[in-house]
Amino acid sequence: MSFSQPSNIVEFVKTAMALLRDEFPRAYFLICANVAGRTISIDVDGKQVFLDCKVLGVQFPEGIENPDVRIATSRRTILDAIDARVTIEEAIRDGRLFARGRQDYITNCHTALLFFVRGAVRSPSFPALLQEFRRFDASVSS
Amino acid sequence: MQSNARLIEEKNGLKYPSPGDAKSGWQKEWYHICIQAPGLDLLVNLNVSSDTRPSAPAGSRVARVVLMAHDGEWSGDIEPVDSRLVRVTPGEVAMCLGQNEIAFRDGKFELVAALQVYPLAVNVRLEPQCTPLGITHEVSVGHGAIGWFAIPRLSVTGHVVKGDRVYPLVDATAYHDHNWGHWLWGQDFSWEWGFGHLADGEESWTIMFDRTLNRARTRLLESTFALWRGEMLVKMFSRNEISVRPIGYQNPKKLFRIPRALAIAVPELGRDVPSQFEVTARSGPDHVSLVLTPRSEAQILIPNETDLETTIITEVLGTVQIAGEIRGRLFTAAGRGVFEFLAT
Repeated sequence: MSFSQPSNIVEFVKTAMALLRDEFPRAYFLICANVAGRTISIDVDGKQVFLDCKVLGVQFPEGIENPDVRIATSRRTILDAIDARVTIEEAIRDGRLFARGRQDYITNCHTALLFFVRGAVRSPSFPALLQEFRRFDASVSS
Repeated sequence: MQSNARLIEEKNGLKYPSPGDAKSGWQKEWYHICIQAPGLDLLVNLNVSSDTRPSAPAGSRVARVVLMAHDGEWSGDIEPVDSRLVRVTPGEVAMCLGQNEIAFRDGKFELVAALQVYPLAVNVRLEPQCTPLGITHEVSVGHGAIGWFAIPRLSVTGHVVKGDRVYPLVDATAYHDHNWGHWLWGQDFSWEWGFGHLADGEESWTIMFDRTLNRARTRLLESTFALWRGEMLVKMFSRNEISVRPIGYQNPKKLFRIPRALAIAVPELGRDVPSQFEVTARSGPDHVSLVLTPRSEAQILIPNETDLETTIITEVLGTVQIAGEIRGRLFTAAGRGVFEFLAT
């Protein structure tokens, strides 16, 4: 599957989920099953993306008041985790990744993250998307 | 050595692509090389497989290159290779995956490989020093089978680049094998495999061991323990002649793992790598015992093709000691080896 070059973090998240749904649907639907009924905000370097999660799909509204789970991190931390320079546990301990919400909701989000990674490594288009994310990170950071 | 070259040309050529059977969509094939030099270990694997991912077009193939090096610190990665850059010649040792290439010409292997993200590269010529060993039948693994051809000791000339450092290879040796077959990662199998390049004074010894089992390691599918003195294969033990005894198990806190991103989804490091690994073999009056003492480990993570779990291959660098008696001659030898423990 081809994708148009994402230009911000919201588009990256949307593109990643669309690729997963097309190229490795079982991981996409397992993510949905684990976070269905929850609303999530993800803040990456101050830019927010909102997820409204249903059993069969994730929607991306413009905003959500009082999301069930709030996650905040940076592009650098995401790349450091992808490149194994930091683990998820270390990022939380070091204050580079924040997650706020009910403990069981956060556990569901962590499970969803594992399915996201397992699906991403099995999806042919993800290496190209990751390359775009690295370029995007470099251009934003410079 | 000319007869070895002929044998390699005959037996070590690429098997695929070939007209498929019902399991042709599970084809896997690789050339694997381990290089041991003073202060440096390098693992290279050039592989081409059927693409079993659900979004892949039927009949498509995926190529990857694995390079890992240890010089006190691990480095390396697994890189996919664009299918438009893959050139393979069935029947010949001729695999070209982008800038990575292995070929057999004039009795020597020529190997060039380089990662594009992490600075690790190799450019070497490898000359067989031992009689090759081919398992004459494919061994059952999972719902498929695997074939195997190995050259357990080769001399090496050339260079390895790791980070900013260039290693000219002096007094280096290598191991090479070629595997092919059809199975899916995640099916019911596991393996233990290893080789050692040893010496007793001026006399060189080479050992190779493998054991293929079901996942629970309760059912033996195949096992071989072979020894070479100099270039000659002097003994091959098989199946029930071989016993294995792990002595304690490691509980690592941190390991170098590739691909790095998959490590996020596999936080557990595994506890199936022994602190020491003992292999003993006996056939009539001939007997040998081997002890592997691990020095450093790293893991290759392979996404299962049967489910969303992961197959973990732990590569173990260590010292190897052997002692035994073959044809009435007592011997001992020691050196370095690389072992591999695969768990699904």
